[in-house]
Amino acid sequence: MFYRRFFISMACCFGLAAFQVQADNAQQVFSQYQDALLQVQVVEKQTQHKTSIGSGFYIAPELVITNYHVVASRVATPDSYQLMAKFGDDGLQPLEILALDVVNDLALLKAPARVGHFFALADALPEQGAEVFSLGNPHDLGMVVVPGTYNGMKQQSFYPRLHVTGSINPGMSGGPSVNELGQVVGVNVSTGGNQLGFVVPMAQVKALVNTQPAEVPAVELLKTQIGQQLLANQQQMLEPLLNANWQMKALGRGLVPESIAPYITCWARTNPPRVEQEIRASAAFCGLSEDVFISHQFTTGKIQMQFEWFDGSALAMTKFVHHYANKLKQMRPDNRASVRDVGEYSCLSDIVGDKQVAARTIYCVRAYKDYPELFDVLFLAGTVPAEQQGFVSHFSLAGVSQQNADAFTRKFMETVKWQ
Amino acid sequence: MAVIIELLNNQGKSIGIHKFTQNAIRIGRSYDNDVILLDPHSCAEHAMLSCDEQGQWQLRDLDSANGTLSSSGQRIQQTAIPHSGQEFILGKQRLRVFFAAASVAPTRILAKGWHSLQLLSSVPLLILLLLLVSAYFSYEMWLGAIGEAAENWHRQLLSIPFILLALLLWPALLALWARLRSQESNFRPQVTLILLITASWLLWSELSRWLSFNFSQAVLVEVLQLTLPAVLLVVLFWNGFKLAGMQRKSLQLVLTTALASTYWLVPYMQAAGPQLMPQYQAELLSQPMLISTPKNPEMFLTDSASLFDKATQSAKQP
Repeated sequence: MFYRRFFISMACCFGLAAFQVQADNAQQVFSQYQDALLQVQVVEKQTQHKTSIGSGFYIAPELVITNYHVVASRVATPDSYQLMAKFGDDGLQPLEILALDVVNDLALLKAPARVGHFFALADALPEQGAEVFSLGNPHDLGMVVVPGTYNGMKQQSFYPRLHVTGSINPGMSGGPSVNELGQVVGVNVSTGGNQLGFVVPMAQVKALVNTQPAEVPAVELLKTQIGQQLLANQQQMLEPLLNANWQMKALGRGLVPESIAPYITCWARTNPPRVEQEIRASAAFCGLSEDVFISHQFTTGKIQMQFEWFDGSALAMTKFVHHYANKLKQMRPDNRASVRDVGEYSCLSDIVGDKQVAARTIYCVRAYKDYPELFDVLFLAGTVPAEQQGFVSHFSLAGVSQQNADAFTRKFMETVKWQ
Repeated sequence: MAVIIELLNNQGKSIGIHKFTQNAIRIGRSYDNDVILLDPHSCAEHAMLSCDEQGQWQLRDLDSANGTLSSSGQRIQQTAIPHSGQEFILGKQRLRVFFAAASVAPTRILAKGWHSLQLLSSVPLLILLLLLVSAYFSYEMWLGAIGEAAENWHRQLLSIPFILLALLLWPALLALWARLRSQESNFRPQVTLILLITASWLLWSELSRWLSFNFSQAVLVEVLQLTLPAVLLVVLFWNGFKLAGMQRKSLQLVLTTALASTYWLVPYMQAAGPQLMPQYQAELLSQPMLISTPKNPEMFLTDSASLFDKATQSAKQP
């Protein structure tokens, strides 16, 4: 008992000492770079009130980096919103968008000229376990600095993200995360809840800065660039999936993927039997849960696959078919979209297969309004039951080209099947 | 000259007609009157109708307690009745006086096809349909009950009488309407008609599922699904109005069309804006029900090429 208390006391002392060093560093970082930080506001033109806020930082006299999602409303409805910069207690000054990277959620802005310190970009990623400081303006409470720990790259993520243990809160989006020398290692982008922060690495920021145009582009041109970025991204995402040899496993009498690519994760669940007269269901899911933010009503880039095996041996055939068929009637897209962003779904439905194993097969497609050549697709197949057993397979892809959608559908139909 | 006294109820409908050839007619509640009234507000000897030497009929009040009123509500002691069809109120009893020479309304012609509707009066047919519709609802309830609900599914059967009662609302409404217009109510044929249409509707829904399952792409099936239920509604409303004795063909046509077109109008109104949810054919039955040849996957993919064009077109709409 005594030893335990002793060790706890000692640990506390060391903890306090470490905290003191951290606080010193934080103070230093903050005082040195406070001038290079700003709040980015999206202001509604009619009322001149802000509708959303984020953080930004100077990397050159007129260049500011922030997140794309901070400035997204300006791109979606340029007639209704404008961008403003707020420095400390000073008034508002206008900002313009120079370049965007929608896939990595970054924006390069043209800002009022500024003298003094700018943030320098780090040359390399920090060591795992190294101290990093995230700066920003959480909940509009004023600029803060939050100490944290760099924990390596986010695992099983398609998009490169640094994993930082530290409180990144709403409003800090677009702010920098810096190392002990005050060099930017990345841009705060999102939080996974309790102390789990994600940061876009420096390499992506440098790539964006390199595309800097000579003058401020029109919003239409930005949209064209977003379209091109989305097209390139879906190509990068789907190509490995189409070329990969899918590892399959059995789910009931169905054959479903077990492992496809590192960024596609799979789970499974089954409902325990409760009563006699019911359909037993086992399900497996595979997918990429990360998505690409386009606007507050519109996300894309999701890949979801779902497989369900149904067994209703205790039920009469007609009863089983009735309930099994109902499972096919509710199919929903996995990504968020509004009527302003997408057209209506066009669907094809038929009985596909051979006399032994046929399936009600449904294929639905909707096109993006602002980004031609991109589509959301849904696929659903439910086997025609010969006994009280059925297998339903489903996938949805958000923001893919026709060519990739067709190739994926073909691959899915060939590999996911009844055995 | 003969005189006719017609007794009327509060709505002005006839409840009795008396014809007299004598010159004096006594009206009141006592049993020695010529016209015996049941209205407790009239007196035992209430009024007297008499014909003078010139052949002129006179109505005289016999000092009754509540008096004799003209149709305009004026109390009268004695009044001549120059015209046929004049109305009076004795106590609360309304009556009308006619002379034999008065003309009657023209004969109503029986509606065409009336005799064919006589089949609907058949009691065995009514019972058969009741059983058929109840059996279908029971089957649906059994089909829907799964898991814990499957053990007590028969409790739901108690709701069948209420469903049937709800079905009877329309025939009841038509029968009441016919009754108010002094027509035959034809309640039983109306009930048989709605049960016949309901049974046909349910039969079609089963057949339609089977057709959709087997012939997903067939235009004919889609056309049938869109028109047949509407035709059933037309049959229901047209014959319902006929049984209720509607005389004006134009009105019958307009009402039938309006009511039957709700089959298309309701989905049309609901689909006001663009749909974000996919709409697709998802009918699935068991393998023995499959009579068509399943499509080759390759052909299915070829067919799907047109989807992208359609989707692009839809996205171009503002």
